This record gives sequence, C-alpha cells and structure tokens, in this order.
Amino acid sequence: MTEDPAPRASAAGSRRRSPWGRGSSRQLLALPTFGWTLLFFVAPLSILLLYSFGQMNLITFDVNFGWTLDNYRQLNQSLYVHTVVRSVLLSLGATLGCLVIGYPVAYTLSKQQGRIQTLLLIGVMIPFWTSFVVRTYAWVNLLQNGGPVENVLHALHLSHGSLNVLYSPTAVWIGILYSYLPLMILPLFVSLERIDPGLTHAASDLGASGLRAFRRVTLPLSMPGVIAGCILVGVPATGEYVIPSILGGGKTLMYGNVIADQFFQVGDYPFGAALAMTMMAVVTLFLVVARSGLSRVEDVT
Amino acid sequence: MLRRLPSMVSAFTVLVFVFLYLPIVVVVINSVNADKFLVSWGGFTTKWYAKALNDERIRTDFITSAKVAVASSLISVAIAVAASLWARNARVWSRRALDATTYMRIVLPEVVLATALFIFIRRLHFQLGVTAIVIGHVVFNSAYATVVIQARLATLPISLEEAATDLGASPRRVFQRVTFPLLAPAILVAVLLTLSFSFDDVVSSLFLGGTNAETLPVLLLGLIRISVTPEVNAIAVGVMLITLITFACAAVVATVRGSIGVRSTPQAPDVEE
Amino acid sequence: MSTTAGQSRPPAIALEQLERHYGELTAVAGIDLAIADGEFFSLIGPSGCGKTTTLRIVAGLETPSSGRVSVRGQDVTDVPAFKRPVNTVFQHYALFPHLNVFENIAFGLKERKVSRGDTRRRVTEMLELVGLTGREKARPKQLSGGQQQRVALARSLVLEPAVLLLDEPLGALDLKLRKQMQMVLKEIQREVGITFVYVTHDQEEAFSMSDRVAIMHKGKIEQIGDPVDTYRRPQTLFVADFVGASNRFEARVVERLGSGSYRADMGTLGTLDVPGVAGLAVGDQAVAVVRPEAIRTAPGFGDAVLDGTVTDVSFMGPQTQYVVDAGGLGTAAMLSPADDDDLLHSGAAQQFRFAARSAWLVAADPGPVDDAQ
Repeated sequence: MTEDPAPRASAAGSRRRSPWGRGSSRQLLALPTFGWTLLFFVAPLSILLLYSFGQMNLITFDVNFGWTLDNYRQLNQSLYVHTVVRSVLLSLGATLGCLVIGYPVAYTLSKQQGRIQTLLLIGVMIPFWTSFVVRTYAWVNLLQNGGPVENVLHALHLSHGSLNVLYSPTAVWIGILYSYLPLMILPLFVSLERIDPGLTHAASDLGASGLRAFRRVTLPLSMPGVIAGCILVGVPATGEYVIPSILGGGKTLMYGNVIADQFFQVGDYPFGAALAMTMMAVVTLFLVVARSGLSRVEDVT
Repeated sequence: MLRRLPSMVSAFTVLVFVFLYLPIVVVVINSVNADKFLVSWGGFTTKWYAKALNDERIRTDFITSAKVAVASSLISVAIAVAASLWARNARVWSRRALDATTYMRIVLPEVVLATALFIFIRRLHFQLGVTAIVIGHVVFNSAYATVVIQARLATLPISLEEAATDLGASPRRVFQRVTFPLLAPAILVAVLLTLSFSFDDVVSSLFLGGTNAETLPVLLLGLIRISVTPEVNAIAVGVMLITLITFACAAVVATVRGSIGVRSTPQAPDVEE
Repeated sequence: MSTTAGQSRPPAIALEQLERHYGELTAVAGIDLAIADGEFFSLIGPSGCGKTTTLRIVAGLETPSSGRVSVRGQDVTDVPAFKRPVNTVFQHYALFPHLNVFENIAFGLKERKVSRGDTRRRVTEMLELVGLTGREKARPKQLSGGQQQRVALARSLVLEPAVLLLDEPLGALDLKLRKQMQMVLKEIQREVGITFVYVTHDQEEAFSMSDRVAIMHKGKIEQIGDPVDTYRRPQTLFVADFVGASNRFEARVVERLGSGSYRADMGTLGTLDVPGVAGLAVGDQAVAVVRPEAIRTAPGFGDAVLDGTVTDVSFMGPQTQYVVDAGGLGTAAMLSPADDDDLLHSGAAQQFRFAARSAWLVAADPGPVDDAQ
C-alpha cells in the first residue's frame, strides 16, 4: 500500500489492521508456495549448477569445486552429441505426431455437446489412470515380431516379413506419441471449444467454404492451444526416461537415461549435473521459441 | 453418433480412441493370460493376480506409493489453495512471481528436478526415502494444483466474499461458508489429479527413494526390465480398478454436491452485464 | 456536525474529512457528510467520481486513508466490515450461487446465531416484502435479474441494518424494469423506515427516489440538497450540467440586487435581472444557465429574446427537442411539451424567449471546462 502523501494526526489511526483482506497475516498465505519453491526447487537447481562446474574424484567420491568447464567439454563426445540430437529429434517428431493426430480429435470433441462430450473427454483421460509403466510395456507386446501390430499389417498387405520395430527409435517415438497424446488433445480442445461458433458461421455467410472457414478462422484462433499443447508434449518428452528404457531396449537411449546413468551407474555427479544443465538450456530454448510464438498469435487473436 | 462432422474426421477420431485403448486391452488380456511368455493366448488364469497379491514386496511398495501419493497430494493442494487465495489480492508483480515459479515447476524436465534434489539431499546428508519422494512430488504437484485452483478462483467474483463479510461473517467464516464451498469442485479435481500424478511417477521416485523406499511404478519398471513378468499386468489392472473406483466415488460425491449448483466446469458467473 | 450529543438523534451516518488515495490517485478527496435517520439519500456523479469508494468505505470494505466514519454516533472507522451495523446491496447482487434463495436471505441471520424458528419467520416476512414468496428453494441462477435484485435486497434488509447501502443496484436491469424497481425500492424504504444510501450515475433515478442527493465530482461533494433545489439552483457549472441539459449564456455581474438576484449584462440578450448563487461580486464573469424547457416561442413570453434558426428537431413522444443556432450566442436546446401544436421545422428562423427569473447565474469555471467523464 502506498504511503499517504499527507500524513496527519488522524492518518496514524488509519494505518490500522484493515477490516477486510490485505492484512499482514494474509501475506503468510504466500509462505508455503514460495518457501517450498525456494528450498526444494531453486536451491537444488543452484547446487546442481555449482556441481556442473565441479570435479569428482571417482575413487574417493569427493567433489571439488574447481570451476572447471571440463564437464561441459566432455559433452562434445559423439555419444552425448548423438543422444542430445536423438532426444531433440524424437521429441520434435513426437510433438508433431501428437499435433497431427490430436487436432482432428480435439476438433471432433469440441463439436460435441453435453453428456457425449463429457464422456469422450473422460475417455481421453482414462488411459492416464492406468500405470504408465505397464501401458508402455504393453507396446513391447504389441510391437514385437509376430505380435498383433505385425499381424494386422500383414493382413492388410502393408508389409511382409518381420516388423523389427521394437527396441528402435521408431518404437520409442510410438511410445512417446501414445503417452503424450492426451496432453496435446486437452489444450487443443480448450482453445477450440472457446471459439464462438458464430464466427465460423459468419465466415461461411461471408462466402468462405467449410475448409476455407476452418483455415481462415478456426485454425488461427486455436493457435494458443496448439502452442500450449506443443509445450506440454515437447518439453517433458525431451527429458523422457521411462519410455526409452522400456521400448529403446538399451540401444535407443535418450537424454534422460544418460543423465540417470551418470548418477546410478557411473557415479560422476558433476558430469551428470552438466548434462542436466545442458538439458535445461535446450528446453529453455524450446520454451523461448514457443513463448514468442504464443505472444505473436495472442497479438493476432 | 458424432455431430456435424465430415465422416472422415469422425472415423479418424474413432481410430485414435482404438489407439489409446489398445495397450490397455493388451494389459487386461495378458493379466489373465496363462501363457508365461505372453506371446500367444494360453488360456484363462487368475494366477498372476494371486501371485501379485501374495508378493510381500508388491504389497509394501503399493503402500509406499499410496502414502507418497496421499501426503504429496494433500500438501500440494493446501499450498495451492493458500497461494491462490493470496495471489488474488496480491500486487501485480507478486502475482507474476507466483505465475513464473508455477510455470517453471511444470515445464522443467523431471529428470533435471530429480537430479537436483538428489544432489541437494545427498549434499545436506538428509536421507533419501519416502519423505524425499514426497518433497519432490510436491514441487510439481503443487504447481499443477495451483493452476487448477487459480482457474476456478478466477471465475469467482470477489464481491461474493465481500457480500459475506458485509452480512456479518468474519474472515474465517467467509472462507468456511463461501470461499471453500465454491472452491470445493476445483479442490476435488486438484486432489485427484495430484494423486494420480504422484502414484504413477517413476523418475522422482527412482532418484529420491534411494534404498530406503521403493514405489510401485519403480518396482514395475525394474521387473519388466529384467524379464517378462506377467504379474505386472495384474498389478496394473488392480491399480486401474482402484483408481477408477476412487474416481467414480468422487464423481458421485460431486454429483450429489452438484445439486448445490456448483459445477466443476467453471461457467462465467451470470452476473455480468 | 461537531455537536451530535444533546441533539435528539445522531445522524445515521456521519463522514468527517474522509479521504482515500491509491498511490498517486485520489478517489475520495475529503468528504464531510451527515445523513439523517430514515433518509433516502443518493450519491450521484459520473463514473470515477469516488461515489462507490465512499460507499465501500462506509461498508468497511475499503479503508480510508484518513478521516472518520460514524454510524448513529458511534465511530466505526476501526470496526471491521463484518461487525458494522450497515449492509450493502451490490451492483451485481453477489448472491451466493451455492445457496438457494432461503439460504441466501438467512446467511446473515446464521452469523448472528438467530434461532431456527426466528430465522424461518423473518426470512418468510422478507420474501413477502419483496414479493418472492414461494421461491425459497430456487437457485439464484434460476431467477430473473429483477428477482435476483430483490433477493439481494431481502438478504440485507432481514438484518435490520442501521443503514442500507445500495451500489448501482439497478444498473444491470433494462429500462422498464428499472422504472418498476425504482417504485419498489421507494415503497420498501418507506415501509421499513431504514436509511438508504443509494449510489448511481443516473441523476433521474436519484431524483425520483431520494429525499436528498449529493453530487460528487473528482472525489469531492459539489452540492448537497433536495432534488428540486439541486435542479433549480445548482451551485456550480458542473452540477448544472450533470443534473440535466442546460443552455449556457455568458453574463457579467453589473449589480447585486439582494435576495439572491443580480443584474447581469448578457451581451446581445441585454441586461437582465437574474437569480443566482450567493457570493458573486460586481464585475464577476458568470454563466447564466437556462433549462431547455424554460425556452418558449410564444410571442410576448418572458423578457429575454434571442433570434435563431432551428437546426435539428427530435420528436421524443411527450416532448420535442429542438436544437437552435443562436448566432453569436452559440447553440441552444429547447424542449416543448407535446401539446404544443405548432411543431417547428428544421431551418425555421424564429424568436426564442425565456423569463430572466427562470435563468440561474453561477460562477464561470476558473479553468478549462473538464468534461473528461
């Protein structure tokens, strides 16, 4: 609250506990969230940053903070470069796949009403409530040679011979696509649902054909949902750990697995920290691009 | 069945739903498949359920997961409610600070958060275990809960609480009689959301459990990485049933309370001009 | 205002030196006001004039930067809102969506721990008063705007407050319903005898219901008085404009005639004897305000004559409004009753007349006219 420009005798009395809201006790409500964030988010990340410049004696397991860039230089090794590139490509590919598959579904959902719409929305969510690990594991079963997917493809004469997809980047891509699809559909649905149907009607009245009305009205207005969906899918997919460790079969490793290995197998915390910080940088870059896209579409809409 | 759509789009939607449910169907079928290697149908059996139920480790891990989920959910929602109530009357820049920290906690890849907390806890010589997992889960769960609660709060005009104050309700009573009942649907949604996020989490639980605590998803991941273990399907179906029953109960509660006229899908209040 | 003790009854509400600043912004710039018990009092002014802030300070929903608020002689400045003996009807009613009509009205009674039986009796009485008997179980969303408004009224009145504050309560209703609700409000106020403090930007609405009105401008009260007095004898140019359309003619005071009249030099209109605000001095630049309905075309009427041409005619049913180009005197507006058969046409050149005693002199604005609102 701003100070009274002209404090007077009675002004002393007016600096009282306010009768409604804004009292200093209200400020206590902010304590848990900021306290937790500071203690268990900001502080750990700061220590992680410190570690990434440190060095570890792999015999004594002591960390020296030598302010070295060695950990980051080590990233140059082709194994890590490949992993980073593979993770980014898989994540982008899965995001694109989710968008292409999710958009028509979200559009369909947004055109439904009442009970059917609610049921379909719940239908999109229900897979979330089955164990993520086991659902991913089911794809091992589906994709293995001689498994259902291969059988269906053979029956449709779309392929012959062994599928040979399991434990390959394709399998990981399918796994990510599958797991993150609902996270794309929901924000798309929200932004499509919000569009006033009168607008597309108006566009049709003005002579736009159905497809043109969609392209000129619906699509631009749903851009915030597109970007939100891409962030929700792309960011966590880049750091995915479970899907590659199940469907990648030790070959198609992603960034998250390499980081985890540094901690659980190698035990080189400083290098693991450098890997994690690099991932943060990659993700931040992705976010900056997405956010600038978002502010642009928000200017338009 | 579906309204006002080109038939191709409808057909595509149906296909996507098949895609979404295919693995779940596989899980359910394999949970009663007698074939040990799950390659073909080997007849109906319930032995995997029996095996899972009799496994001490599975039982322990289930309880650990449940503890973690309940604790992290309750803490998260409490933090979120407090933060959202605060943000509503806070100055613009403090509100922005909350939004920024909330957003960051949601988008940061979990691997990064987990490694950071892992080093942090080791460095301070705290113990890895249930508490550490809860701490980690609350970091992101409280952010999700904040988003849900704030969205609901934004649809509630502040004049409702002012009216309650004006009619003689003390701040505590205003919360009891107006704010809380109106927030209840969002709180329910936030609790269910955070419960399921927490219960299903692998990465944080893996890093922060150490040797002291193992959650069910971590165990499952370990089991399937070693060999084909049909009982994981039985466990998944069991957990799914528990989840669905919980949600159904919540839905019933919400419907019963729905007669109080508050819907979880927030409608713009009809008091606008 | 200082001597409330010893008098028969303290005012229902007394404001002293009330101010409210938001940083650089001043919403209320020092208000002194006493509202008598049982009065229907309106605070009017353009949006942003501080009337709602003043009302919220009285309710306790807003803290004054300085000054005091008393209710029935009791200083309540430091009393939190929920302990004040005043209640508010909010602009958008603020009915609780999770409670039905009965529970909404009983809300405050429950806080006072009124017994179940008493609650039922008092709520039933209130429903009868506002004409909503039988709608106890309805949800606010199932009610029309006018019905919601009446629930909000009942919810406050059932607590029998010392003062009822109403913040643009009819703002969300359509014109016809507004007129109807104005009658209802007036009737209810007379029936319950509770002091009403009514905030609106609609001067007509305020005039039709109030015993007294206060016109606010830029956080200050410009004038307080009964509606007739305010309309006929505005103390400032702002008030003259705000309470109704007015024609302005430049005037210079040449002589003080006593009993509130001045002899004024009004240029081409000649020198006229015009009543006006107290305190104008000889030589002062002033403005003569003439209401549109005071201007006639009947030959021989009044003592001021201006030549003009009709530039616009608006037929409005009970009246017809003309816009007249009066040459060097600027444009003027005239309102004629509908029974005036001789409708003028656009372009008609005519003599327009008014009586000097129907004009009213106020001081010219010191600075540029501020009509930002």
